[in-house]
Amino acid sequence: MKIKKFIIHNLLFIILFLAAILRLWSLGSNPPHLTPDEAALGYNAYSILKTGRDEYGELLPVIFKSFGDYKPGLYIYLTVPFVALFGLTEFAVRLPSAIAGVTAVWLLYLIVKELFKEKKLVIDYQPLAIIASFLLAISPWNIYFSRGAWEVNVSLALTLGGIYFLLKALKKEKYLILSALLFAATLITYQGAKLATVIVFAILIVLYWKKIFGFSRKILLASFVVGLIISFPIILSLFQGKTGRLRVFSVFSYPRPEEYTQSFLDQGKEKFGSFTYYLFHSETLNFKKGILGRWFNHFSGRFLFFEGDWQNPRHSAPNQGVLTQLDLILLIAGFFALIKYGLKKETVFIWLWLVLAPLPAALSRDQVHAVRSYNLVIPLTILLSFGAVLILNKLNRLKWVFVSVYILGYIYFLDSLFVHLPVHDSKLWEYGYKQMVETVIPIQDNYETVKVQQSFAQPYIYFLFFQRYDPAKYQKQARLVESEYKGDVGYVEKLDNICFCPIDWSVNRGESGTLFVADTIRIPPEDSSDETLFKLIKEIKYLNGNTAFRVLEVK
Amino acid sequence: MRKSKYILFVILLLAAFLRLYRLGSFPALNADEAAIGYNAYSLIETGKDEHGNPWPVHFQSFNDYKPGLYFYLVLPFVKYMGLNEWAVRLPGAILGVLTVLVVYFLVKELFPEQKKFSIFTFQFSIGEIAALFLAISPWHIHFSRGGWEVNVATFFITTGVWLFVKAIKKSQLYVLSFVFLVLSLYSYHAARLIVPLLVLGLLVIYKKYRILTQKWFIIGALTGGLLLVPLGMDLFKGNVLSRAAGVGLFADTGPLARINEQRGEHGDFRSFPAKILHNKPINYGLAFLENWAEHFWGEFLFLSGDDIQRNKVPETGQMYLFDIILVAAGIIFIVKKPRNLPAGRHGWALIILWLGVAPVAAALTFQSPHALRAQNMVIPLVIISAYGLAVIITWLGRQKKYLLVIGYWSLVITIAWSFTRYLHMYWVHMAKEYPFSSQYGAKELVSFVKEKQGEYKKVIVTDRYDQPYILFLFYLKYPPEQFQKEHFLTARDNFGFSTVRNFDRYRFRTIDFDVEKPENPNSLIVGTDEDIPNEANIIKEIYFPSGEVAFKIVAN
Repeated sequence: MKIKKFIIHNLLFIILFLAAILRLWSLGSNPPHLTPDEAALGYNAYSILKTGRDEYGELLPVIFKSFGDYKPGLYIYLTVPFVALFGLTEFAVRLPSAIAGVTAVWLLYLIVKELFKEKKLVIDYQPLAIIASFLLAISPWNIYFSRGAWEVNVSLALTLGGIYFLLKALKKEKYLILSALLFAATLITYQGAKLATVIVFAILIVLYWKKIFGFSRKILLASFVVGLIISFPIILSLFQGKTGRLRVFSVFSYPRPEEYTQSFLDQGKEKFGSFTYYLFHSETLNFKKGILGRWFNHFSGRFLFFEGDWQNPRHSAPNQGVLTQLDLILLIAGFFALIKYGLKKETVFIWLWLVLAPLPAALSRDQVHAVRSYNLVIPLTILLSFGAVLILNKLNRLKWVFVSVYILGYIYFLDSLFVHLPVHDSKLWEYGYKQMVETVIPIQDNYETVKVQQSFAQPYIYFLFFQRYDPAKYQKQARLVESEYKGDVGYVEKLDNICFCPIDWSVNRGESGTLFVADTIRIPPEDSSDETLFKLIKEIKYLNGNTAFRVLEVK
Repeated sequence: MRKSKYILFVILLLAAFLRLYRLGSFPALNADEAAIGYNAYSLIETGKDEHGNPWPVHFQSFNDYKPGLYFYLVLPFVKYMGLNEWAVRLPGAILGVLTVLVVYFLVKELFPEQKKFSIFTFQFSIGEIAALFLAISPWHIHFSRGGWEVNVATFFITTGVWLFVKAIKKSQLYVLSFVFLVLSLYSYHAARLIVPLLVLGLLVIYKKYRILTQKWFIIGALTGGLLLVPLGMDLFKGNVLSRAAGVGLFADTGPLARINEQRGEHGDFRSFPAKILHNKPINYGLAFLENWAEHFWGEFLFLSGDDIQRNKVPETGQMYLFDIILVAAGIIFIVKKPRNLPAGRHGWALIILWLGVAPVAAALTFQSPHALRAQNMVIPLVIISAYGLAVIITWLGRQKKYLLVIGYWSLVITIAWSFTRYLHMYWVHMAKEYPFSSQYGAKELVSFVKEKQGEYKKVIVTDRYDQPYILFLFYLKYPPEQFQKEHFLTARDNFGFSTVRNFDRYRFRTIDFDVEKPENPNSLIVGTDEDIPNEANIIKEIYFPSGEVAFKIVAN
């Protein structure tokens, strides 16, 4: 018995080790470049570390203004020690998320054990918990968001912690305070947690309300106060318009154009407000249809197995779903096994979470969204592990054939992540800005002005990040200008002698003594090749060989 | 409790009404249907099809080699009713109604011990509910209303499967079953893949009955094989297969281009990992799997349906919205309690297998999901849906009275709302929202031109809308003998279709009015709204149902 226990304990250790390798291997260079958000998180952490203030000079904020998207700040504070330790590097910025990913694997093991350990299961709970943690360790979805400074991934780990301690609290009340603390902490980590966490929390409360409301008043009150204190800034922000562009993202901000509806109604000589309008064509119906359609998208083969987040390719590996292709088999088997298992509290929890997890994504404007629906990875992984246990139990001798095929199939994902992602998606990851900053900085003072093409990639943040610009100095000149899209993110237009501005080559081409940085569309190579007028200092290329930027001097 | 012996009859009446009401005029006849009708007409008159092929197995038509069975079904109707829309469509609609009946028999055969359950005071069986759901199914009604070969194939497949299951107790029926299954192969391309897979599945599911060694099974299989000979011989001619290749998965060069891109990203193009991970079998295999999975996408099944306008009704899924709940409940209870009875369990295995197999042929083509090619999916789906309703109703029956009443009424209201919304979308919006989905205006055009043609030397018609020549032949009832002699079929275009550019005094081409006008005095020019400038001598405008101009006719 001792030996068996020993093996099981080591199995978990091996799985965590595997999870760590998959998340940490070449973390600084793959994905190939920092996104503007990652750079902002890093630079604000650096700014906090050096001055105690964010880039706009605010003292220890909970919500960071950043690009005008008001980022909840826990990720930044988690990054501070790593920036202190490793310096302001890609690796340091991404490390908190990677660690959260490994922690999530461990927490899932604990949760599955906690959920199923007292029940008389058809299958033993130990292997189920081990397989669940293994499948999360190798989950393309979880690995992808563990590799990169994705706040949502930290939020997921905190959510799992919250769930675990809530389950623990059913036996030992005082854990409830810890649970409340972790759940509330998700709110100050990730914008979308406002809905995503409430969904999980509500499901748990509904399922276990009898027990939870039987707790002592003291514990309940303490938990409530802890939760409230931590989430207070977020609640406050709801009334200050710092809601992370809620209006921009909400599906309800995008009704059908009235002319469209009108012309559709005209076909049947129907009118706005008529009986058949309300019965068949109303805007409410249309929103419901849109939401349901988005919900379906998150359960489509395309999203799960074949293409991933097709609307935002930066949210999944190229030509790869958020699960592996062979998970199709595990998923079908998983449904089968979970249905067979019947409706108990713990399975109802999984079912409800599975159904409700895509809701934050379904209520937003995008057709499909791997970040906003990210919590789905947990119920899906539990479902897959039920399927895996079923298959492994049924296939007696063929077990190893199945395992080998599964591992072979998994290579396809590894190839996609480690070989294809950097090359295929280097543009999506804003590759080139680091290289550009490194080119411009040494020669910056030779020019009166440096003009860098403005864009939502927020070029200024890369100049701050990669030259480790003195935060105290920047805080004095920081100014965010509102962009043409009201309520969306803004721009920074100036940093010392660098101007981040739209470039119109027909106008700008005569500005002698200026250094320009732009892509080949803003400054066409055929119109800037005259060596008597221009000097091409450097051409920066994406990893697939296409040109990202050209650094050009007007003589 | 009243016994409801007329229920099935009422369901069939409803099915017939939904399929026959204004069948001759709505939607407008499309080019494929016109081809079916005219070729049948041509066979009656001359013993040859429009291009002069005697009694073909596949009809050359637009060089797309249509499977021939439906043409022969239409033939007697054309003979006795004349060459008109009703004659072309009636066989399809009748078989659609019969499919409703056959689904009832199939369910009865698969689940002999099915419990009756009662709604208010009526008693239903799952078979009757399945028949009802098929009767009102948007997917099935759509392809029953019109000369759609696939609907015929679905009828034959369903009947063949039903007879096969019945034959397990009464083995002479294997012969009949094989005859029907073979007939489906003559009706539609997709059946040629689905039917063998279904038969294979049936043999596995019922393996304990040792079907393979039964006398009547062998006789049936031999009969089937014999009946397949003409089809097999025709397929070897090559023309037919080239059409299949045209719409096949390999015609999509996307996966191929991706191989190159992916190998390129490996750095060394010819390295072992690049070759072993990115090659044709893997990329096309993944494309096939993705296509297959697309057919189970909620948006396709319950919300918006097919992408192709001709195959869909605006804002309507292939199934009703309420089917999500029913199908989910059905599947859950199929898994949870496969009936204790052996026959029942086999039945569900068959239904689930059918559901998985049905989109396979469609997934091998590059437009997915495809409601037309995967139409036989509707059969397992309505059966599961009916079972889901039975499960829910039975569950409600055990609840408190007020819950029961609320449950019943919400079901009734949801189903009634979905059904009326579908009818509204079909009858009010479809033709106006998708004016190009069928050849609206063509009939009016031909009858107008026919009246005037004596006055002009030439009639030049735009080829903008599909295949105008066949609609002219159809509505003019142009003598086939004459047509066979004088026409010429063009080479295949990019999509694999050919057309006829002229017969008699008619010319079909893209209209450039400034060129046509001086070159063709004393002719009628028929163009689209954009083709013809307003100052031309327009003698007639023909409209789409939406009120937009479909054709402008110029007397030159």
